[in-house]
Amino acid sequence: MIRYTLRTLLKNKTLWAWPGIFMLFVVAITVWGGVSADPSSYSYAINLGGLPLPTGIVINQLVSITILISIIGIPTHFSENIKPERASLLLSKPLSRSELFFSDFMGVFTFCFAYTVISVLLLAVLTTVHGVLFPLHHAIAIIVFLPLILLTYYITIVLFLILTNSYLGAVILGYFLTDFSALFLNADQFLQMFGLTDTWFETLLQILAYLIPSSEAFQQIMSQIFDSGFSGVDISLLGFAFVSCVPLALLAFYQFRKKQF
Amino acid sequence: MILQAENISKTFKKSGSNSFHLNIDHLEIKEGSFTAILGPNGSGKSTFLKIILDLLFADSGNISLMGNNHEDKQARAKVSYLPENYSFPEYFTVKQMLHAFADLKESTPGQIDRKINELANAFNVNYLNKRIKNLSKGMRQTSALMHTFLADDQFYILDEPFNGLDAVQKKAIMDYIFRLQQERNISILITTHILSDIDKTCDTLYLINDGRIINSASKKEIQKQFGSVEDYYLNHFETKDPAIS
Repeated sequence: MIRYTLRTLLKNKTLWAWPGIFMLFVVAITVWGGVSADPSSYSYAINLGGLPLPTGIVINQLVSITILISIIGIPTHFSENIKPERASLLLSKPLSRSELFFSDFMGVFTFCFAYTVISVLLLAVLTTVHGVLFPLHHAIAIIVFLPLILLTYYITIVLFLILTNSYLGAVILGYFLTDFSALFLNADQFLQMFGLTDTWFETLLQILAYLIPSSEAFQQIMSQIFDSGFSGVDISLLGFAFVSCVPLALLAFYQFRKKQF
Repeated sequence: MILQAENISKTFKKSGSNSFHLNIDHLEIKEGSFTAILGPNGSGKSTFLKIILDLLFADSGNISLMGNNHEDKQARAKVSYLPENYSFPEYFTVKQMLHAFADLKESTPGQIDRKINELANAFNVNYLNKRIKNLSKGMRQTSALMHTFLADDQFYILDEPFNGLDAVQKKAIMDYIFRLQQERNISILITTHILSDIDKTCDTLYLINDGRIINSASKKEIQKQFGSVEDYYLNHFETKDPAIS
Protein backbone atom coordinates (compact mmCIF):
# COMPACT_ATOMS: atom_id res chain seq x y z
CA MET A 1 0.00 0.00 0.00
CA ILE A 2 2.94 2.35 0.70
CA ARG A 3 4.14 1.85 -2.88
CA TYR A 4 0.62 2.55 -4.18
CA THR A 5 0.47 5.79 -2.14
CA LEU A 6 3.91 6.83 -3.33
CA ARG A 7 2.99 6.14 -6.96
CA THR A 8 -0.10 8.34 -6.73
CA LEU A 9 1.73 11.14 -4.89
CA LEU A 10 4.64 11.16 -7.33
CA LYS A 11 2.13 11.52 -10.19
CA ASN A 12 0.47 14.49 -8.51
CA LYS A 13 1.39 17.58 -10.54
CA THR A 14 0.42 20.02 -7.75
CA LEU A 15 3.16 18.51 -5.59
CA TRP A 16 5.77 18.99 -8.31
CA ALA A 17 5.56 22.68 -7.35
CA TRP A 18 7.38 21.84 -4.10
CA PRO A 19 10.80 20.96 -5.57
CA GLY A 20 9.95 23.43 -8.34
CA ILE A 21 9.85 26.35 -5.88
CA PHE A 22 13.19 25.31 -4.36
CA MET A 23 14.70 24.95 -7.83
CA LEU A 24 13.47 28.43 -8.80
CA PHE A 25 14.86 29.87 -5.57
CA VAL A 26 18.27 28.28 -6.15
CA VAL A 27 18.37 29.46 -9.77
CA ALA A 28 17.25 33.00 -8.80
CA ILE A 29 19.92 33.34 -6.08
CA THR A 30 22.60 31.83 -8.33
CA VAL A 31 21.80 34.17 -11.22
CA TRP A 32 20.80 37.41 -9.48
CA GLY A 33 22.18 37.09 -5.98
CA GLY A 34 24.74 35.34 -3.87
CA VAL A 35 25.43 33.44 -0.68
CA SER A 36 28.21 34.27 1.71
CA ALA A 37 29.36 33.02 5.10
CA ASP A 38 27.71 34.90 7.96
CA PRO A 39 30.50 36.19 10.21
CA SER A 40 28.15 36.54 13.19
CA SER A 41 27.05 32.88 13.27
CA TYR A 42 27.69 29.38 11.93
CA SER A 43 25.12 30.13 9.25
CA TYR A 44 25.22 31.90 5.89
CA ALA A 45 23.84 35.14 4.45
CA ILE A 46 21.74 35.30 1.30
CA ASN A 47 21.37 38.33 -0.94
CA LEU A 48 19.20 38.86 -3.98
CA GLY A 49 19.86 41.75 -6.39
CA GLY A 50 22.19 43.33 -3.85
CA LEU A 51 19.61 43.22 -1.03
CA PRO A 52 20.50 41.07 2.01
CA LEU A 53 17.78 38.56 2.90
CA PRO A 54 17.59 37.38 6.53
CA THR A 55 18.28 33.63 6.37
CA GLY A 56 15.71 32.75 9.03
CA ILE A 57 12.94 34.57 7.16
CA VAL A 58 13.95 32.99 3.83
CA ILE A 59 13.86 29.47 5.27
CA ASN A 60 10.56 30.16 7.08
CA GLN A 61 9.00 31.46 3.86
CA LEU A 62 10.19 28.41 1.93
CA VAL A 63 8.75 26.15 4.65
CA SER A 64 5.43 28.07 4.59
CA ILE A 65 5.14 27.73 0.81
CA THR A 66 5.97 24.04 1.09
CA ILE A 67 3.25 23.58 3.72
CA LEU A 68 0.72 25.35 1.49
CA ILE A 69 1.59 23.25 -1.57
CA SER A 70 1.55 20.05 0.46
CA ILE A 71 -1.78 20.55 2.19
CA ILE A 72 -3.38 21.29 -1.18
CA GLY A 73 -1.69 18.39 -3.00
CA ILE A 74 -1.17 15.55 -0.54
CA PRO A 75 -4.76 14.96 0.68
CA THR A 76 -6.09 14.55 -2.88
CA HIS A 77 -5.08 10.88 -2.95
CA PHE A 78 -6.69 10.08 0.41
CA SER A 79 -9.79 11.99 -0.65
CA GLU A 80 -9.96 9.73 -3.74
CA ASN A 81 -9.19 6.58 -1.73
CA ILE A 82 -12.19 7.02 0.57
CA LYS A 83 -14.69 7.55 -2.25
CA PRO A 84 -16.74 4.33 -2.55
CA GLU A 85 -15.65 3.91 -6.19
CA ARG A 86 -11.95 3.72 -5.20
CA ALA A 87 -12.35 2.24 -1.72
CA SER A 88 -14.21 -0.77 -3.12
CA LEU A 89 -11.22 -1.46 -5.38
CA LEU A 90 -8.68 -1.09 -2.58
CA LEU A 91 -10.51 -2.76 0.28
CA SER A 92 -11.59 -5.75 -1.80
CA LYS A 93 -7.88 -6.64 -1.85
CA PRO A 94 -6.44 -8.52 1.15
CA LEU A 95 -5.94 -5.24 3.02
CA SER A 96 -7.45 -4.40 6.38
CA ARG A 97 -8.72 -0.90 7.06
CA SER A 98 -5.94 -0.52 9.66
CA GLU A 99 -3.27 -1.44 7.12
CA LEU A 100 -4.71 0.96 4.57
CA PHE A 101 -4.87 3.78 7.13
CA PHE A 102 -1.39 3.38 8.65
CA SER A 103 0.41 2.54 5.42
CA ASP A 104 -1.14 5.67 3.93
CA PHE A 105 0.48 7.73 6.69
CA MET A 106 3.76 5.89 6.15
CA GLY A 107 3.53 6.56 2.41
CA VAL A 108 2.85 10.27 2.97
CA PHE A 109 5.72 10.52 5.46
CA THR A 110 8.10 8.75 3.07
CA PHE A 111 7.03 11.06 0.26
CA CYS A 112 7.48 14.21 2.41
CA PHE A 113 10.85 12.93 3.62
CA ALA A 114 12.06 12.27 0.06
CA TYR A 115 10.95 15.69 -1.22
CA THR A 116 12.49 17.39 1.85
CA VAL A 117 15.83 15.67 1.18
CA ILE A 118 15.68 16.88 -2.44
CA SER A 119 14.90 20.44 -1.22
CA VAL A 120 17.78 20.43 1.29
CA LEU A 121 20.14 19.06 -1.36
CA LEU A 122 19.16 21.95 -3.63
CA LEU A 123 19.92 24.44 -0.83
CA ALA A 124 23.22 22.68 -0.13
CA VAL A 125 24.14 22.89 -3.83
CA LEU A 126 23.29 26.62 -3.76
CA THR A 127 25.61 27.35 -0.84
CA THR A 128 28.37 25.04 -2.11
CA VAL A 129 28.35 26.77 -5.51
CA HIS A 130 29.10 30.01 -3.63
CA GLY A 131 31.85 28.39 -1.57
CA VAL A 132 29.85 28.27 1.69
CA LEU A 133 29.06 25.12 3.67
CA PHE A 134 25.35 24.51 4.33
CA PRO A 135 25.21 24.03 8.13
CA LEU A 136 24.64 20.34 8.93
CA HIS A 137 22.29 21.09 11.85
CA HIS A 138 20.10 23.20 9.51
CA ALA A 139 19.94 20.32 7.06
CA ILE A 140 19.05 17.74 9.72
CA ALA A 141 16.48 20.07 11.35
CA ILE A 142 14.68 20.58 8.04
CA ILE A 143 14.89 16.91 6.99
CA VAL A 144 13.53 15.65 10.33
CA PHE A 145 10.99 18.31 11.22
CA LEU A 146 9.49 19.51 7.93
CA PRO A 147 7.85 16.08 7.27
CA LEU A 148 6.57 16.08 10.87
CA ILE A 149 5.09 19.57 10.47
CA LEU A 150 3.33 18.40 7.30
CA LEU A 151 2.01 15.31 9.10
CA THR A 152 0.38 17.46 11.80
CA TYR A 153 -1.69 19.16 9.08
CA TYR A 154 -2.33 15.85 7.32
CA ILE A 155 -3.74 14.20 10.48
CA THR A 156 -6.36 16.91 10.92
CA ILE A 157 -7.22 16.99 7.22
CA VAL A 158 -7.61 13.19 7.09
CA LEU A 159 -10.02 13.31 10.04
CA PHE A 160 -12.15 15.96 8.33
CA LEU A 161 -11.99 14.07 5.02
CA ILE A 162 -13.39 10.96 6.71
CA LEU A 163 -16.07 12.96 8.52
CA THR A 164 -17.14 15.26 5.70
CA ASN A 165 -16.18 13.47 2.45
CA SER A 166 -15.34 16.95 1.15
CA TYR A 167 -11.81 17.64 -0.04
CA LEU A 168 -12.16 21.42 -0.01
CA GLY A 169 -13.90 21.54 3.36
CA ALA A 170 -11.38 19.18 4.93
CA VAL A 171 -8.35 21.09 3.63
CA ILE A 172 -9.67 24.47 4.78
CA LEU A 173 -10.84 23.21 8.19
CA GLY A 174 -7.68 21.13 8.70
CA TYR A 175 -5.37 23.97 7.74
CA PHE A 176 -6.97 26.55 10.04
CA LEU A 177 -7.48 24.19 12.99
CA THR A 178 -3.85 23.03 12.86
CA ASP A 179 -2.69 26.62 12.52
CA PHE A 180 -4.58 27.42 15.72
CA SER A 181 -2.01 25.23 17.50
CA ALA A 182 0.12 28.41 17.68
CA LEU A 183 -2.64 30.09 19.68
CA PHE A 184 -3.12 27.08 21.97
CA LEU A 185 0.62 26.65 22.57
CA ASN A 186 1.09 30.28 23.53
CA ALA A 187 -2.27 30.65 25.28
CA ASP A 188 -0.97 32.64 28.26
CA GLN A 189 0.79 35.19 26.03
CA PHE A 190 -2.29 35.68 23.86
CA LEU A 191 -4.57 36.05 26.87
CA GLN A 192 -2.25 38.63 28.41
CA MET A 193 -2.07 40.49 25.10
CA PHE A 194 -5.87 40.81 25.04
CA GLY A 195 -6.08 41.53 28.76
CA LEU A 196 -7.95 38.28 29.50
CA THR A 197 -7.30 36.78 32.90
CA ASP A 198 -10.01 34.12 32.92
CA THR A 199 -8.32 30.97 34.20
CA TRP A 200 -11.20 28.80 32.92
CA PHE A 201 -10.55 30.03 29.38
CA GLU A 202 -6.81 29.50 29.79
CA THR A 203 -7.40 25.92 30.96
CA LEU A 204 -9.65 25.28 27.95
CA LEU A 205 -6.93 26.52 25.56
CA GLN A 206 -4.35 24.38 27.32
CA ILE A 207 -6.55 21.30 26.95
CA LEU A 208 -7.10 22.11 23.27
CA ALA A 209 -3.33 22.37 22.86
CA TYR A 210 -3.11 18.66 23.69
CA LEU A 211 -5.98 17.76 21.37
CA ILE A 212 -4.94 19.54 18.16
CA PRO A 213 -1.76 18.36 16.37
CA SER A 214 0.80 21.05 17.19
CA SER A 215 2.57 22.14 14.03
CA GLU A 216 3.67 25.19 16.01
CA ALA A 217 5.61 23.04 18.49
CA PHE A 218 7.54 21.31 15.68
CA GLN A 219 8.22 24.68 14.04
CA GLN A 220 9.53 26.09 17.33
CA ILE A 221 11.86 23.09 17.73
CA MET A 222 13.15 23.62 14.19
CA SER A 223 13.84 27.28 15.03
CA GLN A 224 15.60 26.23 18.27
CA ILE A 225 17.96 24.00 16.25
CA PHE A 226 18.57 26.78 13.72
CA ASP A 227 19.46 29.20 16.52
CA SER A 228 21.43 27.05 18.96
CA GLY A 229 21.99 23.62 17.44
CA PHE A 230 20.66 20.36 18.88
CA SER A 231 21.63 21.33 22.44
CA GLY A 232 18.95 24.05 22.29
CA VAL A 233 16.07 21.62 21.76
CA ASP A 234 13.36 21.74 24.43
CA ILE A 235 12.75 18.01 25.02
CA SER A 236 9.45 18.57 26.85
CA LEU A 237 8.19 20.61 23.88
CA LEU A 238 9.24 17.77 21.57
CA GLY A 239 7.34 15.26 23.71
CA PHE A 240 4.30 17.56 23.77
CA ALA A 241 4.44 17.90 19.97
CA PHE A 242 4.20 14.12 19.48
CA VAL A 243 1.52 13.69 22.18
CA SER A 244 -0.65 16.39 20.59
CA CYS A 245 -0.81 14.33 17.37
CA VAL A 246 -2.26 11.26 19.09
CA PRO A 247 -5.92 12.22 19.87
CA LEU A 248 -6.97 13.31 16.37
CA ALA A 249 -4.95 10.52 14.74
CA LEU A 250 -6.76 7.94 16.90
CA LEU A 251 -10.12 9.57 16.25
CA ALA A 252 -9.46 9.52 12.48
CA PHE A 253 -8.45 5.84 12.72
CA TYR A 254 -11.60 4.98 14.69
CA GLN A 255 -13.83 6.79 12.20
CA PHE A 256 -12.07 5.14 9.25
CA ARG A 257 -12.59 1.66 10.70
CA LYS A 258 -16.30 2.40 11.08
CA LYS A 259 -16.69 3.84 7.59
CA GLN A 260 -18.72 1.85 5.07
CA PHE A 261 -18.12 2.01 1.34
CA MET B 1 -17.24 -24.21 -0.30
CA ILE B 2 -16.18 -20.88 -1.80
CA LEU B 3 -18.92 -18.78 -0.22
CA GLN B 4 -21.57 -19.49 2.38
CA ALA B 5 -23.89 -16.74 3.62
CA GLU B 6 -26.42 -17.37 6.40
CA ASN B 7 -29.13 -15.06 7.79
CA ILE B 8 -27.62 -11.82 6.48
CA SER B 9 -29.57 -8.70 7.27
CA LYS B 10 -28.82 -5.06 6.61
CA THR B 11 -31.07 -2.04 6.95
CA PHE B 12 -30.48 1.27 5.21
CA LYS B 13 -32.23 4.42 6.15
CA LYS B 14 -33.38 6.23 3.05
CA SER B 15 -34.76 9.75 2.78
CA GLY B 16 -37.75 10.44 4.99
CA SER B 17 -39.08 7.50 6.92
CA ASN B 18 -38.33 4.98 4.15
CA SER B 19 -35.78 2.25 4.68
CA PHE B 20 -34.39 -0.66 2.67
CA HIS B 21 -33.99 -4.10 4.23
CA LEU B 22 -31.69 -6.77 2.85
CA ASN B 23 -32.40 -10.26 4.18
CA ILE B 24 -30.50 -13.18 2.70
CA ASP B 25 -31.39 -16.39 4.51
CA HIS B 26 -29.04 -18.74 2.71
CA LEU B 27 -26.73 -18.56 -0.29
CA GLU B 28 -23.80 -20.77 -1.16
CA ILE B 29 -21.35 -21.03 -4.01
CA LYS B 30 -19.42 -24.18 -4.77
CA GLU B 31 -15.96 -24.44 -6.21
CA GLY B 32 -15.84 -24.14 -10.00
CA SER B 33 -19.40 -22.84 -10.26
CA PHE B 34 -20.77 -19.92 -12.29
CA THR B 35 -23.47 -18.24 -10.21
CA ALA B 36 -25.60 -15.25 -11.12
CA ILE B 37 -27.70 -12.98 -8.95
CA LEU B 38 -30.45 -11.35 -10.96
CA GLY B 39 -32.95 -8.75 -9.97
CA PRO B 40 -34.34 -5.32 -10.82
CA ASN B 41 -32.53 -2.07 -10.04
CA GLY B 42 -32.30 -1.37 -6.32
CA SER B 43 -33.14 -4.94 -5.36
CA GLY B 44 -29.96 -5.31 -3.25
CA LYS B 45 -27.57 -7.17 -5.59
CA SER B 46 -24.61 -4.79 -5.27
CA THR B 47 -25.30 -4.28 -1.56
CA PHE B 48 -25.01 -8.01 -0.98
CA LEU B 49 -21.73 -8.21 -2.93
CA LYS B 50 -20.33 -5.34 -0.85
CA ILE B 51 -21.35 -7.09 2.36
CA ILE B 52 -19.54 -10.25 1.21
CA LEU B 53 -16.36 -8.18 0.79
CA ASP B 54 -16.84 -6.33 4.10
CA LEU B 55 -17.16 -2.98 2.34
CA LEU B 56 -20.57 -2.65 3.98
CA PHE B 57 -21.20 -4.11 7.42
CA ALA B 58 -24.12 -6.51 7.89
CA ASP B 59 -26.33 -5.93 10.92
CA SER B 60 -26.35 -9.67 11.57
CA GLY B 61 -25.50 -13.01 9.98
CA ASN B 62 -22.47 -15.08 9.07
CA ILE B 63 -20.47 -15.18 5.88
CA SER B 64 -17.71 -17.65 5.18
CA LEU B 65 -15.53 -16.66 2.24
CA MET B 66 -12.85 -19.10 1.02
CA GLY B 67 -13.15 -20.93 4.34
CA ASN B 68 -12.51 -17.82 6.44
CA ASN B 69 -14.71 -15.28 8.15
CA HIS B 70 -15.34 -12.63 5.48
CA GLU B 71 -14.11 -9.87 7.83
CA ASP B 72 -10.67 -11.47 7.88
CA LYS B 73 -8.44 -9.96 5.20
CA GLN B 74 -7.11 -13.45 4.46
CA ALA B 75 -10.58 -14.33 3.13
CA ARG B 76 -9.97 -11.89 0.26
CA ALA B 77 -6.48 -13.18 -0.58
CA LYS B 78 -7.76 -15.27 -3.51
CA VAL B 79 -10.78 -13.14 -4.40
CA SER B 80 -11.04 -10.50 -7.13
CA TYR B 81 -13.84 -7.99 -7.31
CA LEU B 82 -15.05 -5.73 -10.07
CA PRO B 83 -17.48 -3.14 -8.64
CA GLU B 84 -20.21 -1.66 -10.80
CA ASN B 85 -18.83 1.83 -10.20
CA TYR B 86 -15.11 2.25 -9.86
CA SER B 87 -12.52 4.97 -10.14
CA PHE B 88 -8.91 4.48 -11.15
CA PRO B 89 -6.31 7.27 -10.89
CA GLU B 90 -7.10 9.29 -14.03
CA TYR B 91 -3.53 10.38 -14.70
CA PHE B 92 -2.16 6.80 -14.77
CA THR B 93 -1.81 4.93 -18.04
CA VAL B 94 -3.60 1.58 -18.18
CA LYS B 95 -0.29 -0.22 -17.68
CA GLN B 96 0.70 1.99 -14.72
CA MET B 97 -2.71 1.43 -13.13
CA LEU B 98 -2.37 -2.34 -13.52
CA HIS B 99 1.10 -2.25 -11.96
CA ALA B 100 -0.09 -0.04 -9.07
CA PHE B 101 -3.01 -2.32 -8.16
CA ALA B 102 -0.96 -5.49 -8.74
CA ASP B 103 1.27 -4.41 -5.83
CA LEU B 104 -1.69 -4.79 -3.48
CA LYS B 105 -2.10 -8.54 -4.06
CA GLU B 106 0.24 -11.38 -3.35
CA SER B 107 -1.55 -13.63 -5.83
CA THR B 108 -0.38 -11.45 -8.73
CA PRO B 109 2.04 -13.47 -10.84
CA GLY B 110 5.74 -12.59 -10.59
CA GLN B 111 6.08 -11.79 -14.27
CA ILE B 112 3.46 -9.08 -14.23
CA ASP B 113 4.24 -7.67 -17.69
CA ARG B 114 3.76 -11.11 -19.22
CA LYS B 115 0.35 -11.40 -17.54
CA ILE B 116 -0.63 -7.89 -18.70
CA ASN B 117 0.30 -8.78 -22.29
CA GLU B 118 -1.65 -12.06 -22.02
CA LEU B 119 -4.75 -10.17 -20.86
CA ALA B 120 -4.24 -7.45 -23.49
CA ASN B 121 -4.20 -10.14 -26.20
CA ALA B 122 -7.23 -11.93 -24.78
CA PHE B 123 -9.26 -8.70 -24.41
CA ASN B 124 -8.11 -7.05 -27.68
CA VAL B 125 -6.46 -4.15 -25.82
CA ASN B 126 -4.00 -1.97 -27.73
CA TYR B 127 -4.13 1.09 -25.47
CA LEU B 128 -1.96 0.03 -22.54
CA ASN B 129 0.00 3.28 -22.71
CA LYS B 130 -3.06 5.52 -22.92
CA ARG B 131 -4.06 7.52 -19.84
CA ILE B 132 -7.24 6.38 -18.05
CA LYS B 133 -8.77 9.86 -18.45
CA ASN B 134 -8.56 9.54 -22.25
CA LEU B 135 -10.35 6.18 -22.46
CA SER B 136 -13.89 5.61 -23.72
CA LYS B 137 -16.46 3.88 -21.49
CA GLY B 138 -15.91 0.51 -23.13
CA MET B 139 -12.12 0.86 -22.90
CA ARG B 140 -12.39 1.75 -19.20
CA GLN B 141 -14.59 -1.27 -18.56
CA THR B 142 -12.15 -3.57 -20.36
CA SER B 143 -9.26 -2.05 -18.37
CA ALA B 144 -11.22 -2.63 -15.15
CA LEU B 145 -11.75 -6.27 -16.18
CA MET B 146 -8.01 -6.57 -16.86
CA HIS B 147 -7.41 -5.27 -13.32
CA THR B 148 -9.83 -7.90 -11.98
CA PHE B 149 -8.24 -10.83 -13.83
CA LEU B 150 -4.65 -9.70 -13.22
CA ALA B 151 -4.21 -11.85 -10.12
CA ASP B 152 -4.40 -15.65 -10.26
CA ASP B 153 -7.37 -15.92 -7.92
CA GLN B 154 -9.96 -18.62 -7.25
CA PHE B 155 -13.11 -16.54 -6.91
CA TYR B 156 -14.18 -13.61 -9.09
CA ILE B 157 -17.05 -11.36 -8.06
CA LEU B 158 -18.26 -9.32 -11.02
CA ASP B 159 -20.88 -6.60 -10.60
CA GLU B 160 -22.35 -5.74 -14.01
CA PRO B 161 -19.10 -6.65 -15.81
CA PHE B 162 -20.42 -6.10 -19.33
CA ASN B 163 -21.51 -2.47 -18.90
CA GLY B 164 -20.60 -0.51 -22.03
CA LEU B 165 -19.01 -3.45 -23.87
CA ASP B 166 -19.81 -4.40 -27.44
CA ALA B 167 -20.63 -7.97 -28.50
CA VAL B 168 -17.07 -8.72 -29.64
CA GLN B 169 -15.58 -7.60 -26.32
CA LYS B 170 -18.17 -9.53 -24.33
CA LYS B 171 -17.36 -12.70 -26.25
CA ALA B 172 -13.62 -12.18 -25.75
CA ILE B 173 -14.12 -11.82 -21.99
CA MET B 174 -16.50 -14.77 -21.70
CA ASP B 175 -14.03 -16.91 -23.68
CA TYR B 176 -11.29 -15.90 -21.23
CA ILE B 177 -13.48 -16.78 -18.23
CA PHE B 178 -14.27 -20.21 -19.74
CA ARG B 179 -10.57 -20.79 -20.28
CA LEU B 180 -9.85 -19.94 -16.63
CA GLN B 181 -12.63 -22.27 -15.49
CA GLN B 182 -11.13 -25.12 -17.49
CA GLU B 183 -7.53 -24.39 -16.48
CA ARG B 184 -7.95 -23.40 -12.81
CA ASN B 185 -11.51 -24.35 -11.89
CA ILE B 186 -12.31 -20.78 -10.82
CA SER B 187 -15.68 -19.74 -9.37
CA ILE B 188 -17.68 -16.77 -10.62
CA LEU B 189 -20.39 -14.73 -8.94
CA ILE B 190 -21.95 -12.28 -11.34
CA THR B 191 -24.75 -9.73 -11.39
CA THR B 192 -26.02 -8.47 -14.72
CA HIS B 193 -29.05 -6.98 -16.40
CA ILE B 194 -28.21 -8.51 -19.75
CA LEU B 195 -29.77 -11.94 -19.42
CA SER B 196 -28.56 -13.24 -22.77
CA ASP B 197 -24.96 -12.88 -21.50
CA ILE B 198 -25.42 -15.62 -18.96
CA ASP B 199 -27.98 -17.79 -20.68
CA LYS B 200 -25.52 -20.50 -21.63
CA THR B 201 -22.93 -20.01 -18.92
CA CYS B 202 -24.56 -20.03 -15.49
CA ASP B 203 -24.97 -23.18 -13.42
CA THR B 204 -27.00 -21.53 -10.67
CA LEU B 205 -29.19 -18.46 -10.57
CA TYR B 206 -30.62 -16.53 -7.64
CA LEU B 207 -33.46 -14.06 -8.15
CA ILE B 208 -33.49 -11.18 -5.69
CA ASN B 209 -36.23 -8.62 -5.15
CA ASP B 210 -36.65 -6.00 -2.42
CA GLY B 211 -33.62 -7.39 -0.61
CA ARG B 212 -34.84 -11.02 -0.51
CA ILE B 213 -33.96 -14.05 -2.56
CA ILE B 214 -37.29 -15.02 -4.06
CA ASN B 215 -36.15 -18.00 -6.10
CA SER B 216 -33.11 -20.03 -7.04
CA ALA B 217 -32.65 -22.62 -9.75
CA SER B 218 -30.00 -24.60 -11.55
CA LYS B 219 -29.36 -24.29 -15.27
CA LYS B 220 -30.99 -27.68 -15.90
CA GLU B 221 -34.10 -26.72 -13.96
CA ILE B 222 -34.42 -23.46 -15.87
CA GLN B 223 -33.96 -25.13 -19.24
CA LYS B 224 -36.51 -27.80 -18.33
CA GLN B 225 -39.17 -25.48 -16.93
CA PHE B 226 -38.67 -22.17 -18.78
CA GLY B 227 -36.39 -22.75 -21.76
CA SER B 228 -34.16 -19.72 -21.16
CA VAL B 229 -32.91 -17.48 -18.36
CA GLU B 230 -34.86 -14.59 -19.86
CA ASP B 231 -38.15 -16.50 -19.65
CA TYR B 232 -37.29 -17.59 -16.11
CA TYR B 233 -36.61 -13.98 -15.12
CA LEU B 234 -39.69 -12.57 -16.85
CA ASN B 235 -41.86 -15.22 -15.27
CA HIS B 236 -40.93 -13.87 -11.85
CA PHE B 237 -40.65 -10.14 -12.50
CA GLU B 238 -42.90 -9.22 -15.44
CA THR B 239 -45.86 -7.16 -14.29
CA LYS B 240 -48.81 -7.06 -16.59
CA ASP B 241 -50.48 -3.74 -17.32
CA PRO B 242 -53.82 -3.90 -15.45
CA ALA B 243 -55.46 -1.78 -18.16
CA ILE B 244 -54.66 -4.46 -20.78
CA SER B 245 -55.44 -7.46 -18.63
